[in-house]
Amino acid sequence: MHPIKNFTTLFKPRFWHAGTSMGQAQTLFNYRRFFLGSVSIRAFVSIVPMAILLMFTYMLQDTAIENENHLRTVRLTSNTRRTITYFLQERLDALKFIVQQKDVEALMASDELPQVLHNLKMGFGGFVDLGLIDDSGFQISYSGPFSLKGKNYEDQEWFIRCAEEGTYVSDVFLGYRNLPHMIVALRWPMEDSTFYILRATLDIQKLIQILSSLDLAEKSEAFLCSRNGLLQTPSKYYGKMLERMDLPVPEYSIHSQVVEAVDKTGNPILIGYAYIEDSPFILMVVKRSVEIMKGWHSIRQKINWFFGMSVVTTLVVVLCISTLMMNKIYDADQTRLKAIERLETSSRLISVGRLAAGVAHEINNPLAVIGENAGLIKDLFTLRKEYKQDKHLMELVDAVLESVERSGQITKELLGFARHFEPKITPIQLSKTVSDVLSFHRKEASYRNIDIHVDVPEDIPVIYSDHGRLQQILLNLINNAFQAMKNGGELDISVRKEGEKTVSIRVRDTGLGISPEDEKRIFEPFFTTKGPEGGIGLGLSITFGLVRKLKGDISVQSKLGEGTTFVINLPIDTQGEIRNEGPAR
Amino acid sequence: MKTLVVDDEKKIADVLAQRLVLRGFDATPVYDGGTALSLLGKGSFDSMILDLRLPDIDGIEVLRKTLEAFPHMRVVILSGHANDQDFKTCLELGAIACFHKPGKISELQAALTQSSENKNASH
Repeated sequence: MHPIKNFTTLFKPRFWHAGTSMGQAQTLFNYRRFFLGSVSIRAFVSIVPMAILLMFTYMLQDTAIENENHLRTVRLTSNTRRTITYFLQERLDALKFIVQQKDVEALMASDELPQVLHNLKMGFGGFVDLGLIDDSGFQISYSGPFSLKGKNYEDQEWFIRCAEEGTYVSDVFLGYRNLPHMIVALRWPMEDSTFYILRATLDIQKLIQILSSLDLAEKSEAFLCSRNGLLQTPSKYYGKMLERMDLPVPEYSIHSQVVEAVDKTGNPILIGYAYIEDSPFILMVVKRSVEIMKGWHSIRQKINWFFGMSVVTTLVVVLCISTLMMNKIYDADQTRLKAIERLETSSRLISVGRLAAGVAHEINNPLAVIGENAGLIKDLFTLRKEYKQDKHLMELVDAVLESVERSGQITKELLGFARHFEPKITPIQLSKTVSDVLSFHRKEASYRNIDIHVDVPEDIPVIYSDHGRLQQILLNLINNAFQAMKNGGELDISVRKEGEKTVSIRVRDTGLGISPEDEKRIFEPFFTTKGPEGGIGLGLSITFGLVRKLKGDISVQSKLGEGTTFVINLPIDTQGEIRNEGPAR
Repeated sequence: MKTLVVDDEKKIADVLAQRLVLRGFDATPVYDGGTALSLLGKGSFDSMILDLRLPDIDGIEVLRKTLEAFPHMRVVILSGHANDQDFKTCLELGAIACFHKPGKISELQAALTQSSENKNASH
């Protein structure tokens, strides 16, 4: 139980449950509110900026990474587009080369074309057939796996386009052996403004090779599609060859572009694309966003964990420190309040003392007058025979004299209470003092069966104090103890050393005890719990004054029905204390 | 015994003197220090009851002067305002006894007449 209790005291400040027991005492502020406020603000200020910073960093990272990716993708797309463009250009250039070299008549010869085709196959690779077509669309010469000689292409789009534009690149189709092929064609202008067209069919292996050799991450790929979205090279994820791809056809743009999109299963993707000029192709480089971000996400998880731990640690530390500080403030405040209370009690006592002394002095004089006059009356009565015989008269005078005497006692007590003079410091052996004082009560203790225990250890040093006052203090306390106890009780007197400079004397009885409300007022002058016959209630306030005169302090602990303990702390060197403090009040 | 009763309260000095007379003393009341000292000079007094609070001279001064001039005088202090320190001083100066007001006539009487005893302080 204890370790857990100690643990929670780290977090919960002491005043949390003290709450209303402070009663009318004025605390400096509302502790609970202050504590909660201080903890909240501290926690907030510690954690929120961190959180904001983290979020901000993540956002920046996201943006940076996105930009980076876009840039990379654009660059890759751009470079790849260039490569493909050059590839296609190269093929056309090959035809141009042939055209530069040969005469058209030579190519019309039936064995010339096959030779050229063969050279092309050997030199470049990928050429499947070669054909010469005249300007009316008539295939004059052909070398290749089909028999196309004599075919007319007059109405075909490729022919018309090539005739107009000078070059032509076709999209992919299923050709020889049902493998994908494409066509490149070149217009060969003659001097007489006729022309021929040199046409070649290519297989797209090399193209595919270019695309597959790209350094792409997992689940990313590059392929070509036509301007109406049909796949021209194989794609792993986005559709079947020569069928509509599963992605939207991107908008035309001169430059390579990057767009963010979503694939058919909803995954976010990044598409870098480029329209290949003078061809029906669009280059598509498709990257899966998730894969890109994967590495970052795992790092982020670690960062988030760390952040979480920091938050928890911060909260714990803030709570502990706040509790610690508030406890200290609370303790300081309590000490302050106690000091104020003491001061108030002290000054009250002083004013009462002065008042009492004043009253006493004033009363003593008229009292003396009454006393003397009554005495004189008695004297005169004693002389005159007729009065001397009158018992009743004498009784009356005696009653007056008795009351005068009693009043005199009371004023004496009052004056004793208000006495002001320097204490007489002598070395005192506490064990002897205690036993001296107890000797007054030994007889009473024995016939009332009260057990007296005295515990003054060997190591209690000789203290320097006022012997008379100390005796009176102890006498008062022991008197009270005896009055509070029934027969068969216990009286414990023990002396202890408290630190280097103080001894404490403990007087404990097993008597009636004092209620908590009375406890607070027990040292007040004229406060008594003993009823009308019990005296005027100055005993403990006198004792209090005496203890203070000896530069000590006195406190009480009591439980109703169980008993009371008075604890007096006295300095070992009272003279030193007096020197330090200056003259008595 | 010729006794001087010195008290600034006329009522007390007079009544006290009367009571002493009833007990066989030759008591004279005076009400201030100056009169007391001059009377002491003129007549031969054996004893004195002295209040410390006097209107003109401090009671302790009167005590000192008296015992200087008449060391054999038995002086009993009867005061309503004195504290233990004052009484101590008086005893040191040579007073026989010190009492608080209201005093007991029997005790005063005893102190005035008995020899070398009753050097009591306050009680």
